[in-house]
Amino acid sequence: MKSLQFLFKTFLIATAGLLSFACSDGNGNDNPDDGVPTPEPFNIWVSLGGGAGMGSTASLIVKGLKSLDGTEIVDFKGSGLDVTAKMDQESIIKAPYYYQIPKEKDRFGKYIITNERIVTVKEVAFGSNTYKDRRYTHAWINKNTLVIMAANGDASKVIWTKLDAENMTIISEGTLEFPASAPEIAQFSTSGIASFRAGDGKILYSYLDNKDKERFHLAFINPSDMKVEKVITEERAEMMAGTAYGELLQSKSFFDTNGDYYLACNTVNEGATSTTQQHGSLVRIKNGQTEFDKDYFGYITPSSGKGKIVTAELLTSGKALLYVMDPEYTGADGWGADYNCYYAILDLKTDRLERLGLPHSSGNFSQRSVVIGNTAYIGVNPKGKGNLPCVYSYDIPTGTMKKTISIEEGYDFSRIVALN
Amino acid sequence: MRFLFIFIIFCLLTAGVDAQNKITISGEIKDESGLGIPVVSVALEGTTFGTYSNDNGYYSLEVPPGSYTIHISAIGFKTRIKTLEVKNNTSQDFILEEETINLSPVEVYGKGKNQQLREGNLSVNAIDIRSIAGSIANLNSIIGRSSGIRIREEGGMGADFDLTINGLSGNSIRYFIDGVPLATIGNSVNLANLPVNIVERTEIYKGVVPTELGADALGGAINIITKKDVKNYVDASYSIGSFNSHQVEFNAQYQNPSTNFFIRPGLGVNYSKNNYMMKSVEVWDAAVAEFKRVNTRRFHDDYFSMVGQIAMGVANKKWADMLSVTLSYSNINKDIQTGSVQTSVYGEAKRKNNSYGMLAQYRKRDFLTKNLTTDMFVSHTRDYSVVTDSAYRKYRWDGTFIESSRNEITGRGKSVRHIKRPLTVVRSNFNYTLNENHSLNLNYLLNHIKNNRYDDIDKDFEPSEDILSKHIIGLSYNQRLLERRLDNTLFGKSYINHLEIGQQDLSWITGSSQMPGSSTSESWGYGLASRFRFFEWLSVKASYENSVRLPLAREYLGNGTTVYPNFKLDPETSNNFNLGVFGTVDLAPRHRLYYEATGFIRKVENYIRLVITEAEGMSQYANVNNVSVKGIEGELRYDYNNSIQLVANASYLDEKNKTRYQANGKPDITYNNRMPNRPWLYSNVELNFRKHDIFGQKENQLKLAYIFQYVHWFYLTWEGYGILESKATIPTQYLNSLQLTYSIRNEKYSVSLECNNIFDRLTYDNYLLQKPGRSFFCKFRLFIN
Repeated sequence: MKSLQFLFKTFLIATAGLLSFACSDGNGNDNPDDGVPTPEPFNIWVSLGGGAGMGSTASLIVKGLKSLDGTEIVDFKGSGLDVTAKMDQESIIKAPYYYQIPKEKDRFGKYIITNERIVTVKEVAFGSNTYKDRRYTHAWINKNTLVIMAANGDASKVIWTKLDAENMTIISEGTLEFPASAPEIAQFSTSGIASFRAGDGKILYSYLDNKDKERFHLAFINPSDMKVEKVITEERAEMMAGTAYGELLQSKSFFDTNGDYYLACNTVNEGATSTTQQHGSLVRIKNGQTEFDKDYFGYITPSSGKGKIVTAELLTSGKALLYVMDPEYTGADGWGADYNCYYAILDLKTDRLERLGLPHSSGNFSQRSVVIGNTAYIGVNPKGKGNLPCVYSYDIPTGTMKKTISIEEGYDFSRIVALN
Repeated sequence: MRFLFIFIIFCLLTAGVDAQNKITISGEIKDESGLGIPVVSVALEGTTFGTYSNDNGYYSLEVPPGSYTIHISAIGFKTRIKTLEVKNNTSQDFILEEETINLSPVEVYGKGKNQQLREGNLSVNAIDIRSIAGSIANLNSIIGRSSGIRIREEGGMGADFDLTINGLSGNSIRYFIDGVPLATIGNSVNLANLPVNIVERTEIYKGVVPTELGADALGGAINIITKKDVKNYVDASYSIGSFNSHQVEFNAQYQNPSTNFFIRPGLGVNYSKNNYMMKSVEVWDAAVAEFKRVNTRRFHDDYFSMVGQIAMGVANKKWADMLSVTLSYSNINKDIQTGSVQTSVYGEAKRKNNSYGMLAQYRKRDFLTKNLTTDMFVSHTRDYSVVTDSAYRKYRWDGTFIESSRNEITGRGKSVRHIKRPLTVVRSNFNYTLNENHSLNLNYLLNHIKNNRYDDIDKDFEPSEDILSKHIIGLSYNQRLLERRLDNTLFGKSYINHLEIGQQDLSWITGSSQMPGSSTSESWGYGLASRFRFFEWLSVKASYENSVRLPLAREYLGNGTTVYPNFKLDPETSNNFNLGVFGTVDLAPRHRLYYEATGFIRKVENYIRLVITEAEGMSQYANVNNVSVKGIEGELRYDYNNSIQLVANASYLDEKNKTRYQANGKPDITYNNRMPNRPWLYSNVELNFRKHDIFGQKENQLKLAYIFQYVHWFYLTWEGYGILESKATIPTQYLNSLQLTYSIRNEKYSVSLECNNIFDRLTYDNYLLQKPGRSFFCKFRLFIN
């Protein structure tokens, strides 16, 4: 009996000890920090357990690299930063900062990602205009002023917010007022695509009517008062290459060295069984002009492909780097299949398409290419077990290609970000 | 399969051996009003032969011919002893006389029905609710601290929660009330709002689910058994507590001894403002243009639920042991305070649910032929939900708001979404007792649901109607051998799914174009369970089930807004193994220890998960993961003299992703990694003290309970990737609670005080979704019979 009492007392003491051992509940992250560290010049974004773009909730790991020119295999086991709880992949990036609506979904934030932590530089609550995370477009109208735009909840209008990106304050906000001559829109595209044309200081904002996906429109907006000065319509293509996520992840438009604006577009194939079956085209608005250039309709000649343009960015004068989804060319099983994308260079003058000799790649919600000076770094997710995702360095003047870093197999390699 | 084959052969061979040279003593045990008394102990003096009466008071015992002294005993009745000389099969009925006694607390852990279940061949938690109903607010709180169970709540009263049984949760678990799917009372009726006072006990089946429930459960099932007293009674209670919480429960029974007519009304009402303090939440301070952290109360989390039932019928008729009709009504109104993280603050969104149900049940022993028992029901429920998300406002934690550009929940246009889901369930169960030790059970369940959706405001929403039918047929064979030391059950189940597709839009996404408008598919499951008792202090049990879970309506049909239908979904399948030891040790006079330890494995294939689709912001249920869960759980129950009781349990889970390759053929980097965002180590300790006849008063008692709950911290995302310091975690929980209950006149009147989360700790079950802090509840209960 005594031994039982002893056991019982021992248990009570042990239990009490356990209770008093109660420790802190702190989550230990997302505290605003003082000081602004310098991040590595390149960030590699990967996701675990599925792709990370377009609303995915997969885990996101970011790793900063000093260079993309090495030959190492990058792994994320025990290294890199898990940003899942705070950030999405869809960001506005202006070195060294990431700007985005973070996971809190009620604010705009300015962040630095290092290999050790996310530094919250500054956050500002939404004003009267509220946005859906990951679904907005943006334009830098000067060094420190950022314009955010998107359709409102029922997509009956387009709202905008002008931010001072230096100290993250809302300068002004409002709703676009379209001129009476502009086409009636039943339901605006979720985000549209906005770009700032430095030549005349206008925002070019392309959008479409979700109820009428046979054409799209482009508004010229004076950023000083956000007045829509003119709206033009493009009938040669049905939609911009992105309608919902702006260019938060993927590049869909660019200005060439002449200041001409190129916008990637897509059109649903005739007889398609799915709206994802599209073919692409490029439209242009010349510098200073306020009409689509009727003399230019790119990526349509027989030498070009038939696929859907996923990303488009300026490679060098007169040439664009395209990432194209085309199961017919890649031999993939279909439009929804993996490894149905390829990289190519489009000559903007001749419309000649030069397909790069890179493996076909999977991942159509990704941005794995970045152009820095005379070098384009192009990442691929190649087919075949043992073929690691990797980055190729493309020397633009000579056209030589060199394989550089690789990513350990099994990660979804989704984004390269240059922060220098 | 080889093991299964050997087991079947073994069962068949032993069945033949055991049946020789035995005769049967059987009969009915009734009270003075003629109603059958369940769980009456039938023991033959000087032998190891014994049994319990079934729910209808029927017992059957196989013995060699001879002379026996038979003891008939049950709590609340005087014991009967009778000597019988048996040479042939003998029928012997008993009528027991009521005896007023003080119900002993040890009933919970004695050899009542609960203990019988625990000592059966399945892995079961059987929890006595009746004896603690006076001191608990809801079933969640008691079930959530039983062995192997974890409940993750998103907030206070009425908050959404996710119950996990041995690692499997959500849609993998099925809920029943008296063997009838709980959804027949209403889609929003759950463990948190079901009246506690009507409950006799809960049975939690872990991994392997008995065929008579007719469930296509993957990870287990919870069956709530309601009180079926043989007496007339009125049971009423009122609770008041923190956060403006109120609970009213009323249930009663009237039985007419001459006609055997009974009527059993029940009502439970819950209300709470749930205005508990949110600690250190961010609020925008426009003056300094910064977010600041404040403590503030929740302001839009009102919850109201009303669940009412009235059952009436007759019992113990020649043509029916029980025939009843139950009408039910439930009404649930819930304000929605937050989204999936607490920074998404809502101030207008709400959810309403109304359900009307009718259930007809029929039970009969010796149905058509002797030893054939049938248990049938048919139910129809009209379930109607409305989710209102029509405010263009953005709220903050201080209750202020700004006019915004989109609705609160989905960030889209205004919406008032109506969902009507009429549900029809039919079950027929036939149990044929070959003899005392061998029985066959055949079960058929039909579950037919329609899905009608429309929206008052969102003109883009396409109304739709889809139909989903499930037919589940189960056959089981049970044998008890070697003087009941060996107990085997063998079963097979057939699952038939019938789908009619009304919607043809987005066929390339939903797969409707690849499926016929009307299609039927069939799956099979099977399993076995065995228990061998070496000694009273050592028994071993093992069970296995190859189980199937058919996709739910919302998985097939989507939600009409953000989730696409997927008509190509395959059923989930799982191989569930349990191996356990248990026993009762009498340490010394008045010192009793019950122990149980179980190891389990769940191997799930075609796990259905919500995945993101190509289209903006949309998702779809798809067969994606293979998951393996291995774990061990254990429980110790120590009882001293019916006055001190200590219960401690702990569970450890090793849940890993077993998807080796992604759909694109590449290795899945997370293969063999622990699944993220799942608790994997948790424990509960409960210390009960009970004192009778205090303050010099007779027939009163004081109960004091201390409850400690521990949940180890876990990662939100896949562990092992990214530096550990960067990874978000759900922190460790240490919860301490106290309950004090004082009752007089044999628990006729009782008052209970409860303090939860004594140290007011900040607790989370889910990432950044705070649970309530310290809270107090007081419950008054009146029980008259």
